[in-house]
Amino acid sequence: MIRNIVIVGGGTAGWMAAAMLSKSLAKSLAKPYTITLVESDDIGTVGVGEATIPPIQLFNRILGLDEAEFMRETQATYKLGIEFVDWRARGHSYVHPFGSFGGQDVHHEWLRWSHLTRDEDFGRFNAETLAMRARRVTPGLNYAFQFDAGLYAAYLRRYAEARGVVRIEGLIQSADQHPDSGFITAVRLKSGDSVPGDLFIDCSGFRGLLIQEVLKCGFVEWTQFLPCDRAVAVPCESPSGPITPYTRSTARDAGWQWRIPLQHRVGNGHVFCSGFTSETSAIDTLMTNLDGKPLKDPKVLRFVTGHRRKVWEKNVVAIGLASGFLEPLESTSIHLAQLGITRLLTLLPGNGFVPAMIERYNLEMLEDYEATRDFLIAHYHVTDRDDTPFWRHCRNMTIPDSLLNRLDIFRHTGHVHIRGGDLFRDASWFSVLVGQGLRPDRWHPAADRLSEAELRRRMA
Amino acid sequence: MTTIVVTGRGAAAWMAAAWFAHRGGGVTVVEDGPAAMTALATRSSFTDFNRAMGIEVVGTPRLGTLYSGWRRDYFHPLGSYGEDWDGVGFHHYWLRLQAGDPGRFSLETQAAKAGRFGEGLTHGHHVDVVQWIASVRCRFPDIEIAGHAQGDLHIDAREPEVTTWTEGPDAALYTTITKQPDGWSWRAPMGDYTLCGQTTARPTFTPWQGKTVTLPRLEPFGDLGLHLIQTAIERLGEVMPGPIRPSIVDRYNADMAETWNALSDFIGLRTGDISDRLKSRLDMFALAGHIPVPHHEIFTEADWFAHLSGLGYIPRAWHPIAGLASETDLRLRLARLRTRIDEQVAAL
Ligand SMILES: Cc1cc2nc3c(=O)[nH]c(=O)nc-3n(C[C@H](O)[C@H](O)[C@H](O)COP(=O)(O)OP(=O)(O)OC[C@H]3O[C@@H](n4cnc5c(N)ncnc54)[C@H](O)[C@@H]3O)c2cc1C
Repeated sequence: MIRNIVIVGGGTAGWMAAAMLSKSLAKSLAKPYTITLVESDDIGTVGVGEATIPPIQLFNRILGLDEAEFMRETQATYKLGIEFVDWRARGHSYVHPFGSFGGQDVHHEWLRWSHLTRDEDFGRFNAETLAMRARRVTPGLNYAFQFDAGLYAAYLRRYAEARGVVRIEGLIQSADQHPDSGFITAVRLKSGDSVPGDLFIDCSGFRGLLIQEVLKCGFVEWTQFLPCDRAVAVPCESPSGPITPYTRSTARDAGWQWRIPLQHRVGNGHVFCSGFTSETSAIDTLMTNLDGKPLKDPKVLRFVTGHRRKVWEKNVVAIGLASGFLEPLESTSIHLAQLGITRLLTLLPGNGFVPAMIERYNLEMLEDYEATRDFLIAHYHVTDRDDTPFWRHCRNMTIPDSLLNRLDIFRHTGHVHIRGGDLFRDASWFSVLVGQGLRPDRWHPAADRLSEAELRRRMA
Repeated sequence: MTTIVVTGRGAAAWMAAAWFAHRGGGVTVVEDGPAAMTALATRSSFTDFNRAMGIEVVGTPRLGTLYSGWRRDYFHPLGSYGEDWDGVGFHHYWLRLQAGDPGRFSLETQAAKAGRFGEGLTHGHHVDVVQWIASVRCRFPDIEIAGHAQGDLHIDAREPEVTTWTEGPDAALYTTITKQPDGWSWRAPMGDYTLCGQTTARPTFTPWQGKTVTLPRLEPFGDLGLHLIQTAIERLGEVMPGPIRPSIVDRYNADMAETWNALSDFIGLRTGDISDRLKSRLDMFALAGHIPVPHHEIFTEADWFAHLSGLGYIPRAWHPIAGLASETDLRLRLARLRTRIDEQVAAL
């Protein structure tokens, strides 16, 4: 019987979990139950993470958050997609928008059209891209938010505490385990107190306090596919003029730089590979490429790309950075945390731990990690850039078979193969693959059925 | 132009032929194999498939399948049950309120019961195959028929032998599938007559090898088998006609194997062949009301729920989100759904 839930960590992931569990378990857990969140002021949060993808709306809706209030509280702006600058070649840019181009038939028709006319602009078939160009967000578009994740966590903290979540400030030093099952029975704080629980949600960040340091689940490292291993982040003042409703990602010599406009400032960061550039020069690159005065000192973060071999083991479920990390190129971390939380609700029977459910949970989470990984790798691997050692490395590196298969199918059929569980669907893959410069060598013969005049009319 | 040779006499063969003629290939049909089924039980996806090719499906309307003689009789409707709220399937809400016969929340089930049909219902048809093939040939006169032929891609769409007979007319708006000692029999009301059949076949999945794709066999799955065949053809049509590459074959085989497994489990539920996969699915349903719809599954939560609830599986717990609304509010919502369905049926 699950009665006492302990969330370890009070970063974005921890407070998202606390908010959702306090809301959704209110009626279904046997009473009395408790939800406790332990966080340590000594350790602090990772303090970055600002861009999201559209499903965040569903999360907020289930919590019952008012969108206007949420945006005010978190200094949020709308995001319609990402602009990728210099990724395919210096001076080139393309957009990966939320929303579609009208389906795969349109992709094929456009490929034929583009072959005839050298037209490069498929963005005009997508409403979000057009709105990004006009810098105007109108109703009916697909959107996500760019927000201050620290403010989001603080906002959710008030929400969760109002619903009975008890917050304990303290440094966890060890955990007690059941002698037979190895299940965690309590975490022990530096103060000497212990916090007992039936279910532990490990949101302790990169270190994975319970999932790794106690349960030793192991880590599957993906550095060979996604070589970036550091980031330096700094906020700066907003430039004057309207806020751009999108995130910008600019390729750099050994990585890339993000620019995320919020209401009160612009978030910036440079994700790079320490094997190809030094920290000092990475900081330099960032600081010389800001749109406004920096508001803080640049902060360096180190990370290892990959995921825990298992994200649910015994009575510990790892969510957020504790479960794994994929660089923020497509703003997927907060989303993966969201998935981890909602999936837990779906698969957690109130009365205990069921192997079938745990297996399913691990399977689905790892599938999400892998699908997202492949999408990210495609950005680096499919490129014309060969002007720095880093980009030459990315072009030539070995990629996973799953991605190789997908690229081969696209290259030779023009078809984007989508699996049922893919987070990024055909429009996303199409915009990134074509944007990165992969032009299929044929289109589907079905696109040849149109007369040239008809094609012109449709493409004009 | 790439040439495609389809072998078979029945619906599967002509579905493949039509689809490739539509998608831009030179198609030859080699009429080989046992006599094909003369009637089809279709889902709405078959109507969409034909519409995309400019073919109007003609037949008697069909709202689902009545399964008879299993643990109990139950109806598997086309369409869905109630509404999903907050991203959580209707069956969780149904379960929480112990709301009785789930068919009360299915428009198609109620319409089938009342024997009424009209606009706004999710439906398929009982289709006369000979007539349908004639409409395909009329739409695509370029499809050739030959005794044998060589092509760039061979699609084996031969169907297994089935025993069929006809009976007098039946006004039912659904197919009936009845358990038999060694398989099952089915009845498809065709208007003037009813086509009946009996099957014991247990087909297996054959992967795409070299130049030959073997489509799944039509029987013994009825409309489910047809849906599977259509899925296979559509998947092929995304990447074919064109050069055959290992990447394409691997992907198709992996996807079809996954779909095939899901279908086998779907059938296993009824026949009692419980694989490990199905066992874990049943556990998830029993303990948390969870119906996973994994990658490349062609059935929806509603399809699974129809069979699970029909066969008497009742979960012990519902999704926590379904527990959030007040009971009064939820009762009201369910009552509204029922009223709306009754009004819709009365207006047919
Ligand atoms: C460079 C970078 C850029 C990113 N950009 C994005 C983005 O644009 N979009 C996006 O979705 N995501 C982004 N992310 C990811 C995002 O920041 C995280 O997913 C998110 O912040 C969640 O972090 P967390 O809560 O898992 O961990 P953290 O924020 O690290 O929180 C860990 C918590 O655990 C507590 N803790 C740890 N050890 C102990 C202990 N011993 N005792 C008690 N408490 C302890 C800490 O006090 C803290 O509260 C980015 C990440 C990085 C590194």
